[in-house]
Amino acid sequence: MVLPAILFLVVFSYIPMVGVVMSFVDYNPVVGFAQSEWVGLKYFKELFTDQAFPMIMKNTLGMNLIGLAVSFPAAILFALLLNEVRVGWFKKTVQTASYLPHFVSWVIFGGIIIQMLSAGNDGIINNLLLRMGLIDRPINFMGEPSLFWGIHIASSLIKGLGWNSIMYIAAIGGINGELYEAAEIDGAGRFRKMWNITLPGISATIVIMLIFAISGILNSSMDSTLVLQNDLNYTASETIDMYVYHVGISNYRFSYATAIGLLKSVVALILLLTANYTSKKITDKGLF
Amino acid sequence: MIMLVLFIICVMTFYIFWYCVVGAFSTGDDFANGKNWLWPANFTWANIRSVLADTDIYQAFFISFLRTIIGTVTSVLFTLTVAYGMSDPTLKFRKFYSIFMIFTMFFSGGLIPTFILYDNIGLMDNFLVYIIPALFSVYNMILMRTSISEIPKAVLEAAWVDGCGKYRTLWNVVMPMSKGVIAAISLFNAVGHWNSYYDTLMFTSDPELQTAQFYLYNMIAKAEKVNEMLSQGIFSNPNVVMNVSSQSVRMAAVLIVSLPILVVYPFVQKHLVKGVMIGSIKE
Repeated sequence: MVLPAILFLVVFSYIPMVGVVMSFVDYNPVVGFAQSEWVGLKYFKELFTDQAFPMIMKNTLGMNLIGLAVSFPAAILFALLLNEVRVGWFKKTVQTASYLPHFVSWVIFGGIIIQMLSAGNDGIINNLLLRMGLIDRPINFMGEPSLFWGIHIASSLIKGLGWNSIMYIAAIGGINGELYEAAEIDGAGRFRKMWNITLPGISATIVIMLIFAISGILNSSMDSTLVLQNDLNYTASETIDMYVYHVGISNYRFSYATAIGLLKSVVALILLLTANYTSKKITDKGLF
Repeated sequence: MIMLVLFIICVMTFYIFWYCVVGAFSTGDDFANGKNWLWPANFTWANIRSVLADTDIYQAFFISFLRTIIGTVTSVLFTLTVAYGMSDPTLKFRKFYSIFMIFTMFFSGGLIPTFILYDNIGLMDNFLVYIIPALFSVYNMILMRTSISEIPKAVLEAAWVDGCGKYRTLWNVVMPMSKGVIAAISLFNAVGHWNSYYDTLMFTSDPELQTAQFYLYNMIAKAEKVNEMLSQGIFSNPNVVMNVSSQSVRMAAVLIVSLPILVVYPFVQKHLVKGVMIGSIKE
């Protein structure tokens, strides 16, 4: 019963892993691997001299680090706030509304965001800002590279906020209620209970989510970037993953794109192991 | 105070979708001039009609439904079978299989080797590219295995004594007893299939294989697609075209493609949340 899955993973996971050998040869699809010339580290060296390299590194790390710094605490805060709500129906409504964006695709969500940010008269955000007198000319949000990071981070935040908080809500639900009662007897207020009971109670979940987030710091969501990217904001929206796609699939530079992808995977694996190791040393909690 | 903050967040989220609804039912002129904020000034079906007049969208919806149904059923059955196998403590090399599987969650060959693999095994431009690579998920297998291992041993043994084979036991005992986790994982699978457009973009070029999401992606990413639709509309019904603009038509298309999710979501939300909880408890 298990063997079909092993076979499946051999084909769909392990063969592509062996396929990374492609990055050490001048892969030619016509003649195949065997006839392709071995070039060693040529493509890895090329990456570091590639003019696009600083740009894709900056965009990937910049967007992910700022995004993490914003959305990671936001999800925890959201869960804490929701936990303070005592009115049942209100809590349910908030949860229903805040989870919804997670379930619509990025094409749908991004499509609406792009429309809201439109620079024409139809863009509601520009309309609003003009009426409030904050700007005197419409801003071309999607065409301005300097605004792309903000737009991407903000829309990802709205899309994922509710859903990302579920893990924490579940963890809060698992905290022993007697702890709160005891704290109340000792005269602890709302904030004290949050700080001294709830947060330590969900610290294991926080650590695990953080390890995952750190190991994914070089990944970017293709789903969102493909929708939000355009020729005008390219310099701010091109990430490592998008570059691999453009170089490999659009320009057929298979070996070079594989080399970039391989380097990224290796660094991500190292990051994961380091984060896990560090967390185990410091907090005694880890993924494995 | 807390309730106010949460209320504002909710209203903002809700408004994003409401804005799309208003756009979809506004006349092109009104929408282009930003007249509509909360309610269409002049209600019209013209945008919806012009999207539905495009024959491509029917094919796209058909492909989306087909991949969602076939993809979900096959993946859940396959993954469940493996999970049942893996839940057997007497299984030889169980530890090795586990590591072999989990490793693939943290390291992959990347896009290009996958692309070339699909090309070599004939998945390019093939409907099966939506189904086969999604057949097995290590993460879902772990969730299912956890749930199966909670079934009392005595129940499984009783099935054995009654002469049930492995697959009979799976079908008649394990499946009914893991309804919760199966429901949750099926829903996640279905949502994933329905929302996916990346695989259409990467691995197909045949317009017959485009999904509803990809259809929408083309409308948003490429202005020509909308203009082509509008010019087709002129021939079929001049009145309609006067009432629409590329922006309002786009919002109508967004609304139509998101409709299945919006309709189903309130009913299945509970199960989806439960599904995540199963995962979090495991961790």
